[in-house]
Parts: sequence; structure tokens; C-alpha cells
Amino acid sequence: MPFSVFIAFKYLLDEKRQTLFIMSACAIGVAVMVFLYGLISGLQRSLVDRTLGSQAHIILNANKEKPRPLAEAGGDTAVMARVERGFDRPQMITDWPRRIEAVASSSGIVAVAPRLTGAALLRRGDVTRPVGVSGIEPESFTTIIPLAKSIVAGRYDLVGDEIFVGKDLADDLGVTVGDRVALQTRGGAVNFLISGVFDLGNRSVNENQVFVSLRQAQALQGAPGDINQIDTRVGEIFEAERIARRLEKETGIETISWMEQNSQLLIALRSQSSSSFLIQFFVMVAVALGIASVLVVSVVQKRAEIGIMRAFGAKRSVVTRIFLIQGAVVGLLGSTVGCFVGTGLAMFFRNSAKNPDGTPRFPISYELSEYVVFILIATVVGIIAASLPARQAARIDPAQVVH
Amino acid sequence: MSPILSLADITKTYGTRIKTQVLHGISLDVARGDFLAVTGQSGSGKTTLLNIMGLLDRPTDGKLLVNGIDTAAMDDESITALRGRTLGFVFQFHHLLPALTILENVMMPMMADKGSETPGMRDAAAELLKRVGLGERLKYKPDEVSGGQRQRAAIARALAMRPAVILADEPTGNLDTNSSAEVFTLLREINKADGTAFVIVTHAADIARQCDRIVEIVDGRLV
Repeated sequence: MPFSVFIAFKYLLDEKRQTLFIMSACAIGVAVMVFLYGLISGLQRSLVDRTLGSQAHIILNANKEKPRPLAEAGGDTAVMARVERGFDRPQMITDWPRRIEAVASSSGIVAVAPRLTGAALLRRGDVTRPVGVSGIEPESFTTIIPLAKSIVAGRYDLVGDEIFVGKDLADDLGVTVGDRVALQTRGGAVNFLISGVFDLGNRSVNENQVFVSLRQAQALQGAPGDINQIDTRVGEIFEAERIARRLEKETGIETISWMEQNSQLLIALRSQSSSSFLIQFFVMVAVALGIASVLVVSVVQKRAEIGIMRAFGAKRSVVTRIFLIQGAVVGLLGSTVGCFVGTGLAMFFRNSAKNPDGTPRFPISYELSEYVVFILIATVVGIIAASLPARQAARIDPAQVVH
Repeated sequence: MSPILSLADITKTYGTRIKTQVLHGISLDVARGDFLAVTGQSGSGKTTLLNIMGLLDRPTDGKLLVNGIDTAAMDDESITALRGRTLGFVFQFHHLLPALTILENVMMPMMADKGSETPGMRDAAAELLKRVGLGERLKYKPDEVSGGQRQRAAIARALAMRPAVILADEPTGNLDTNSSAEVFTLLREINKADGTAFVIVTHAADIARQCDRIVEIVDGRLV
């Protein structure tokens, strides 16, 4: 065992009460950090999961038709024109099976599904409701949005003229699985049989969205073989915006990510993360000051001992290392204990407060890599905190302290 | 025989604005087997001289040779290494590290020199402790043995690197009469057996009288 490590451990073990004190301070600090991190990231994850439960991570939309001026300027002719945007005419994604293959093979994309969206009036008896109609392939669509898991009545299948309606819309119209409803578009009305009722956990979607097979939607909109939207799911959700921009360049199709659609939510999440980071930063500063102050006192108490080691051949660098190692050990062991305490506290909170549906009121989220980061940070903080007393110790002149 | 320590016209001045000259042109040689007493009143400069001889302090002027090597141009790391390998120290207070056992205290200079414990180090330290009569106290902490035993452990520690010279500053100053006599006898035995030179700073006339050579410092000058 290196001499500096040997002496550092001897000092830590000899001053058990002092070591326990600074280690406890470090453990408490790291426990607070771990608890805060678990709580904040759990809440954020839950919020994001709920948001993404009913929308694709990235949507590629058929490009909108660009308005053209009636007269073009050219030669000696100047044209004063005011270009007004007209009503959007439905545009389609051409050659979509090839495009879907290209998007699916793009890096970061884990699932792709075609979709044809449009609007219609849903009629049940005398009651009509405006709804968004999505034509989907059930198998691929559920890899984007977990619609199969969200079916609360009926089955997840769209055969022939079958339709999925949201729970809130079904309640509103008083319909259920096996009932018939009509979808009215400009082309006329088509009857559908409700094969499933879904609950995506989003009232707006549950009230205003219905799903039919892609083929039925194409027939309804008079666009056989066409789609106007490609939905994708990405592996890393916070990479969605970057991937969306890349996809737009690669495909030439207008893309929008969930991050762009929920920019306010992202701002809130970032503010929350910043506050959490600031709290964690100041906790670590307090821990560092605690470690430094105890080691400074230790250096003062051990001046003669350090002088003796120097007199008997210990170099200044060895003396420096003795105190840096103490800081590192305190940081390492204190933070390891802190990780357990923080997790225990978080688990207690998670299990003690529940929502009426049985889900935890404080969802907690941890990853092993985060523990490694916390322990690494605390160890580095311990070393930094020990650097001042270590330098102080290395400067001790044996002639001044040993008599 | 060439001296191990050779001091030529050594001066030491403290302070920058108000200067206090503590040593005035001290010249002194210490050769192998010497048993030298440095006497003088408090404040005469004995400890300062010992610190300079022990490479714990640098002279303001003059030349200090250790085994013929001029130490003036050496950097701190080289001085530390030379000190650790050539010189041993015994102080008035034992200054054993309380966190270490008696055995580990004796191993300390060896570990500091090698950087870590090496094979045979533990046995060598145990042998030294046996020699000073502490063979049964290897695992004891310094506060678990008597004052005389602590000072003997400190002597064993001073011998750890087989130094050519041991510098002892009032080595018996903190001991009762019996322990003091025991410790002095031990120093003398080591000197006779190993040829290790001793420079003993003392203001006790009876101790000084038992040394082979006595130098007295008065107001920073050898008389």
C-alpha cells in the first residue's frame, strides 16, 4: 500500500468521530441530491410520458401548397402583388412506402407508421360531433402511440368498416362497442361499427379523435392509396427535435417534433431542472466547505506530525496526497451511503402517498448511471475540498513545528 | 576520514525588515563515530544550528557539505531525500505519530523513502525495536507505553534508515532521571556498535560531560 494511502487511512481510522462527522455531512448532502433528482426526474418523466402517450415523437406532414402570385415580375415589368394564402387543399405524401422505408432506416428512429388525417362530423342519431379522423394501420400505429394498450372496451382491430372512438366521445354520445355511428364528409356519410373504445389519458384526444383503417380513411377522403402524415417514434425522446430537423433535410418533408409542439412544457421542465441543479450545487458547496473546514482543523492539529514525516523524508507531494486521499475517501464513502439513504427516503415517499388510481403521487425515477455520477461528483468535490488543507499541510516547515 | 557533515562559516539571519542574526560564522565537522555535545544557553542558537545540520533549515550564508556534497544548490525534493537517507532525528518530545503503532512509527521513514511497504521492512523495524528493548511492544500505540519507552521508540525510528548521523535535540530533556540515563546509555551503545555519529544538543552539563567532544555556542558563535 502506498505510504500516502497508508497514512491517510490511519488518520481517518484514528479520528473515528471526526471521520464519521464529515462522512455523515457528505452522506446527508448526497442523500438530498439523490432524493431531489429522483423526485424531479420522476415527475418529469411521468409528465413527458403522459404527454407522449397520445402523440408521435416526430410527425412528417405533407407539404402545404404554397400560394403563387397571379403575375410574375420579369424583364422590365414590375409587379405590385399581394399574395394571399388561400384555403389549404389537402396535400399527400407521394411515394410514401419508399419514404417510410427511408425514414425507418434513419438513425435514432425506432418505429414508423403511415397515417391519413382528415376531419368529419360523427353522427349518432340526431347528435353530431366534429371529429378528427385518422386512418391507420393498427399494427404499426400502436408502436407509435400505445393505442392497443389503451383499448378499454372491445378489441384492437379494424376490419372493414370498424372504428375506434374515445371514451369521452362514447360517453357523450351514449355509444359503446357494437353500436353504429356515421362519419359525414363532403363526399357523403359512411356507417361504421364501433369495435373498440380507447382511453389515451388525454380528454381532448378521447373526445375529438376517431380511428379507422387506412383503407377506409382513403375511401372517405377520396384519396385512394394516399397518406398525408408519417408518424415516428425515436429512441431518445429529447433528441427528437434534432432528429426532426435532420429528417426534414433528408426527406424534404415538413417535420414537427413533440418538443416543438410542447415548447411551453419543455420550458417548464428546463426551469425545474435548473432549480434542481442549483439546489444540488449549493448542497455540494456546503458539503465541500464542511469537508474543507474539518480537514483544515486536522492539519492544524497535526502540524508536528506532518513536520516529523517531512523530517524523516516524506516529500511535500506525499503530504499533499495524504490529505487529498482523505477528502476522496470521505467523498466516496459518504456519497455511497448518501445514495442509499436518498433512495430509501425517495422510496418511502413513493410508497406512502398514492393517487386514487393507485399510482404513486411522487413518481421516482433512478438509473444506475446516475448513482455513479453522484458518487463521482462527491469524490471530486471531496478532493477539491481537501486541496486547500493539503496545500497548507505541504507548506509546513519541519523546522518551525518540531522541537 | 572525510567528515559526513562539514559546516564552513555558516551564518543564519531571520527577518527581512528587522534582521536578527542568530548564527555567526560557524565552522564544524562531524565525522563517522563522533559523539558530540552542543551546549549553550537558551537562545544561543543551538537548535538553529541543529536544524541547519539536519537540512531542516537553510543557512543564510556559508557552506554545508553532506558526505562531500554541497547542499546549497539542491532543490527541496533532493534535500528531503538526502535528509531521509543520511540523517536521523531524536527530539526532546518523542513526536511519534499517535495513529500508528510503535512498529509502524519505526517503519514510517522507510515507507516514506520507498513510497510503500516493501518485503523485509516490517522485520527490520521489529529488529530495531528489539534492539532498543521494545520487542514486546510492537503493536502498542505510543500512548500505551511509558515516556522512556516512547523515547526509545523514537530512537529506533531515527535508526530506521541506518543514518550516518543522528541529531538529537535535548533527547533526555523530557524524561525522569532513570529513563534519561537509560536513553543516554542506549545512544552511546548505538554509537559504539554502529559507528553512527551523534550530535546531541543539551544544556545538561552531566550529559555533555559524557560525550567525546563538547562545543559550546554563545550568542551564535562557537567558543
